Amino acid sequence: MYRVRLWLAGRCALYAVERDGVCLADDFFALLSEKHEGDAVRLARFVEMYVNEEVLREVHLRPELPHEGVYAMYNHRQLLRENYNPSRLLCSYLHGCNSILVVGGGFIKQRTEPIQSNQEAMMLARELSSIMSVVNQRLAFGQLRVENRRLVATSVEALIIHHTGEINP
Amino acid sequence: MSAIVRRLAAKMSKEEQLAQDWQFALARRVAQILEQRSMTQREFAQRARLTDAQVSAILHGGANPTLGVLARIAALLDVEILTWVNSDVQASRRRPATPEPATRRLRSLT
Repeated sequence: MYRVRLWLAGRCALYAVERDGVCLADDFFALLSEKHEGDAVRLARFVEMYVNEEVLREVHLRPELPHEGVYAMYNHRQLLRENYNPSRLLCSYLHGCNSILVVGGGFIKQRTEPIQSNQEAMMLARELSSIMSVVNQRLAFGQLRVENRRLVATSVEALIIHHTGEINP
Repeated sequence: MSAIVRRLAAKMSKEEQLAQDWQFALARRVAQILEQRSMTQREFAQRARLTDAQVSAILHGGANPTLGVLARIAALLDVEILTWVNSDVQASRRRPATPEPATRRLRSLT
């Protein structure tokens, strides 16, 4: 079972996907901070700054599977003579809205590898894409609406996704 | 709200915080220039005599451009890029990072 919940709020808002009660984004940050704490710190602060933007501009994101609406938050590190940051937090726009993003899981990328050759990353990207298709459908049908840059559900169920057949990571 | 993101972000040193603030302010300003002038990233790169990779790094808030590169952007695009970036950073430091949750405000009143 999946649930979408408010994850970080600033001038804009980020919602996170929970899979069976586990927040995929928090889980990723926990893993990343164990392996590359510096990258985790840098990405966390980038996320904090980004959510405080007036609008969540696409140019600040990395297109991972853009045809499926999946992007990634990441941050280079050109300081200290290092210019590579392997951490990517997957995210996707709410349809027609540039002030709300839904974040899924994240992955640690190898320097030369595209997302397509990283099976786990592809699974996470497809999972997010599937969840977003349900969320966007509910938005279109009025079960969810955007109000003051926040996602408002008409019922608790509107943020819960049971369609496991539809989501096949 | 994500406690782990808050905790990790708070661990950043002041020096790196300031650098990241400048980098992000630069990213935002360049994005605004692209929007206002309806320019593609490639057109911007060509006009400012930068590589596509340099522009991409700037827009992703990770560039560490030299003063020469900033001067080129300022001169060729006729923008006060350094002034803008610095004023954005000053403004962001004056406002709280995120709005205080209503519950905390209420608790402080009781």
